[in-house]
Amino acid sequence: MEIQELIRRLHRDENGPAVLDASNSQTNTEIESSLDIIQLVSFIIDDVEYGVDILAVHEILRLPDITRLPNVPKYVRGVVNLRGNVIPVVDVRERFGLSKAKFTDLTRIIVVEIGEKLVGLLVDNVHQVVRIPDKDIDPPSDLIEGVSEDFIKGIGKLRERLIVILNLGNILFSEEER
Amino acid sequence: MAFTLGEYQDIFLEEADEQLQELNQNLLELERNPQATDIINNIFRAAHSLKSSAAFVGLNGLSELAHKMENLLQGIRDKTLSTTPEIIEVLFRCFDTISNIIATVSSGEEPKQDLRGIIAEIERAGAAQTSAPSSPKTDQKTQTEDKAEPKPQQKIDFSPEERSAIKKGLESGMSCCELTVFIDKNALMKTLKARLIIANLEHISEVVKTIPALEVLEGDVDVDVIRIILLTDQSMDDIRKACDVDQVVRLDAREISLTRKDNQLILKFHAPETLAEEQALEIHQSEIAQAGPISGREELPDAEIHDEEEEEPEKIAEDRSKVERKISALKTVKVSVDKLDQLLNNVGELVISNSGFYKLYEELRKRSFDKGIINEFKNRMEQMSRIAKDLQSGIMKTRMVPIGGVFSRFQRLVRDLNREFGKKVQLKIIGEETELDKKVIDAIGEPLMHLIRNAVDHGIEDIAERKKLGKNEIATVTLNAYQGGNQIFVEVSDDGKGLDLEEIKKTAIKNNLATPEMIANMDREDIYNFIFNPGFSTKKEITDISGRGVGMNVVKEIVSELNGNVQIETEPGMGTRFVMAFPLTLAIIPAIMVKINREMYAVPLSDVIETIKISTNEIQTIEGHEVINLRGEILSLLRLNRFFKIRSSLEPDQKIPVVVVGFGNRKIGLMVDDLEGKQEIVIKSLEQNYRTVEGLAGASILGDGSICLILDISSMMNKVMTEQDILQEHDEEEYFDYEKEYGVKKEELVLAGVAAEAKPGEAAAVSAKTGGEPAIVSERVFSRASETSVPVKAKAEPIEPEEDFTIISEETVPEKPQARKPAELSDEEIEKRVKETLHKFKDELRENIEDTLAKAKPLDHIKEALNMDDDDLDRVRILANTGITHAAENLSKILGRRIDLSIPDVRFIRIDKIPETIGSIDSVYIGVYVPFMGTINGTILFSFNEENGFDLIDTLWGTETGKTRELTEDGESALKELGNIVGSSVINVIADKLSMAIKPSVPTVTHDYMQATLDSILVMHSVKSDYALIMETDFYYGDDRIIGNMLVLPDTDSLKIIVEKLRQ
Repeated sequence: MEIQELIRRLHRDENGPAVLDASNSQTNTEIESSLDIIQLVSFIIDDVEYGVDILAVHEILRLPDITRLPNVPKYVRGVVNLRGNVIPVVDVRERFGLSKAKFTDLTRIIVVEIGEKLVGLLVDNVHQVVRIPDKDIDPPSDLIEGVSEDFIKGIGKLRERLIVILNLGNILFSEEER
Repeated sequence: MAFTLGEYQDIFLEEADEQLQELNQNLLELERNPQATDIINNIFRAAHSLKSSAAFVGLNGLSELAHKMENLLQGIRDKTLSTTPEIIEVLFRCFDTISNIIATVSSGEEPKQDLRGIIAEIERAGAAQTSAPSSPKTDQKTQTEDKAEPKPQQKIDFSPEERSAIKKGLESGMSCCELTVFIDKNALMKTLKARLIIANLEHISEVVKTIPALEVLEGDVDVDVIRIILLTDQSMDDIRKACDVDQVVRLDAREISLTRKDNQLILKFHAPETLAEEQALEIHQSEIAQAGPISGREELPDAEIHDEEEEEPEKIAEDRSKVERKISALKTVKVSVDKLDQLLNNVGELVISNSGFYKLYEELRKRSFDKGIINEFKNRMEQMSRIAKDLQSGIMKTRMVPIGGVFSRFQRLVRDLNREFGKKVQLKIIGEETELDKKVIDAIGEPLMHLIRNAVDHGIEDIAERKKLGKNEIATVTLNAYQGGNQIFVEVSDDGKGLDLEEIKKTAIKNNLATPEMIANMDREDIYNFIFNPGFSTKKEITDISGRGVGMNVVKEIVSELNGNVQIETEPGMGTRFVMAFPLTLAIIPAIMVKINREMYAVPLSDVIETIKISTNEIQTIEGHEVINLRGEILSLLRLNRFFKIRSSLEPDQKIPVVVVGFGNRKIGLMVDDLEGKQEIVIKSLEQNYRTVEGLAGASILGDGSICLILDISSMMNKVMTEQDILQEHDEEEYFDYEKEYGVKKEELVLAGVAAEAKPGEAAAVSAKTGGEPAIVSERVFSRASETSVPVKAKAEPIEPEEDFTIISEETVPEKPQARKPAELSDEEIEKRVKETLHKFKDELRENIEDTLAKAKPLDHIKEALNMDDDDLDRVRILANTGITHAAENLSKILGRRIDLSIPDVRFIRIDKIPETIGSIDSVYIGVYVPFMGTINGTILFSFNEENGFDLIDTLWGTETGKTRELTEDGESALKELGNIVGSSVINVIADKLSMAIKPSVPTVTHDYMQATLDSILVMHSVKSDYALIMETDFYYGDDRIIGNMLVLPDTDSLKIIVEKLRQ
């Protein structure tokens, strides 16, 4: 318990005394990896930070040409060519009931594996990769307005930040389609 | 002669190899778990398939062995035998034997393995447990392999003449040998073959003697073995080739040489060497032993024939055959489809990443490296991209195989079955050109075989019965393959008696597959499907062809493995049809590419009946549906853009391309914006990563990496029928709008669009340089969309007309310019004509500017780079247009001819695209360029393709057309003069308008590739942006012959200055 407490403190003081940090970095990572830590690729939509388990992430693309599909839900923006694979692109904003994504220089497609399928998530940006210990993840609450619990696995706490960890299982198909 | 099983050998070997592997794996599993019935079923099925395919290619011994195995396995399955280690051991030995046979066949030899031993073992193993052998057909007469054994060789009696001939031949340096040719016992016209071989040999050697004698061979005698003594100076290989006649199963040769021993001439017979046959050594030896004393000494009356033991040739023969086996194994390489997929994807990437080199090339060029190196780099780069594309299409084609090859192999099967059952069945083949994925082709042979066997055995009635029923004595089994929707159908149909519903019901109940109550509630289709159950057979007696109830199970399993399904259609007394449907996951199909707005769609050619063009006023509305009268037939129309919810880019008065497609027995016309021609496309499923989308058969990745959707007409029509409103006009607000959607990407789109923009207006000659980029059409939509909302700037800012123009515009302008009468016209008239044209041109120009303005919405990143806004760009356009117009006027004066202009194309363009904009990058052009300097710097380039350049020189010199055929000094000076006049006229206008001091510099004439010419121009300028503003026009003679092209290219800094100046 003591060690864990120490680690937590170290985390908080990450920008604190460099000496302490360096001398402990070895132990730090060792112990960290022995604890259950998940790594997330995070992106921000309307000031809310969302995270996708890095293990599900196949790659991150700059915005390629998207070919529209007819007769599909609006949040499916179309398909893109990923090295010969035709993969659907889900507009995460639209999927969460927010306004449709606008394409900017920061727009990215996070290609994730959902079951056997490869799916692109269209996001406004890719923020960073964060590490969160399992114990700092709370079950979904009604904190996140508008975003259905269908898509939320949990809420991760990283110091002052809250990261909404996504459950990708339901993101591609609407309820009727499932 | 290499032994072969005919054209199906490769297919058979591949299949057999797989089946063997499956057998071995399953048997190992069975050894561990002797009670697993599904494993026994699997082994049974594999053995059954092996039996059938072996019999099919004529390996009767192998088929027989498999049949015995099957008997044994049947015992196990029926629980009359139990799985003992002995039985498993025997089965393993069987597999080894089969494996040997297959290896022998694949090395091009006829298998001669003695199978009696192993068959006896099987029977012993079976008999050890049951008192009676389990198979009713244990007769031994199928040991055909045995009978093909060579007959004992006999002593050769040489006549004195023959002896002396041999002696003479050998002394003159020829070699003598004895050939023993074994002809397939079952071959027809064996004597003919023998005579053919002898005739062949006579070409390359001297045939001394044949046994039997040639005279005997003239008659119709049954001869399997021919011995030929010959003298030759050819190699053994040539002799082997000479004997390479169909159905020669083995060829032995032994050399005869002359030695002297005890003062006597001895003919020495070396050990025979098999030239065209290879067999396991022990079998060979046992044969030899069997064959009798051939290695003994044979004596001739006056010469002792001494046959010494020669070990060496034997060994060499063996070694060689090993090598041969290796080589023949390499003839076909079986590559998994997955690997091909992987390759295809990789090559796709290669094609795309190759385009990165173009950027690099551009970078190199900008830094003005050695031109030679740059050009070399470019050549290599282009070569590489060509190779990558070839590779791509090559791999694509590798996957697709026409089904004909598989179909045709069944002709033989049907013939054999006819003989076996005493039926007369003809095989009809349809659609053999239908291409299927290799994966499907590989697997489809087996189900087809079972279906055909079943059709002939069960489906078709006896001849007598057919006669009685009044049916054609000759029954027909039809194989048919075709594509429909997104599936490929392969049908096997017969005109036999149809399935017996009652019998199937009974058997189903007997086999505990269903209770009578269940069956009472079942559809006929469901009942028919019982026949796909393992072990289901209504046949009372089991033949070695069918009846064990394995076949249909195999069919079902293989077809489902390929994500397909089988349907049975049957009509008592009429026949049965099995329809296998496969998804065309990776099938290449030809398709008509159509464009709606900027989106490209593919309509499978198989659905297309024709393409037509209609005009809006032909469209009538019946009950809210749009229809046209197509040659007296009412054709419903569907606006495809409504289906895909996107605006059409067609102008209201434009002719509308219509693709007439058929679905079922109906037709519908799909209205599209543009037809883009036929293309072969590879279908990729959308299901793999998403799901089926209504109206789409899948997607295809085009050469440039973009995705195009493939229409599925029938599912599209279903959707349209259920939602009639698709046919109605939609609220266009719902439509997809690229402008709204693509905030950031818009400028790129616009750029691409401008670059490829089709020039409106028919009076102006349209230059043929549009690239056909995907953005062409959509640009128009932008303009239409913005026309209403955005005030067109050009109207607010009309071109300041030149005085001349104003005057002339008040005169009556003839509707059509008069017929061209060049040369003799007076100067005044010429001038008038020129002005007329220019006036017209001016109107078009204004239109064009309006268009361009409306279309070319903010070019954000160029604006950023050059610090320009839209108004600036417009002003530059106006300036350029004025200058070029002026140049045209001057040119017409010089040439004394009317000059037409294409509408000046003023646009931003990527620097690397400039050469191809002007002309073919692979042709040599004559150009004259005039750099200008002063407040602003830049270059004016006037370029002509070679022929036109020469013509122009002729015109300038007043010589007769066609005289100049090379660029002389005179020609150069004429062109320079032209450059001076035309160039300065442009420069003067610009200087005038901008109130700047600009001076044309000395013109330079080039005669080189466009790229090289531009390179030398660009070297002089500092072009800092990736994009340059070019102003470019094609000039035409009055009779529409093109003269050349003019390009104004200010450098980047100058462009900024121009912009600044124009703002004031």
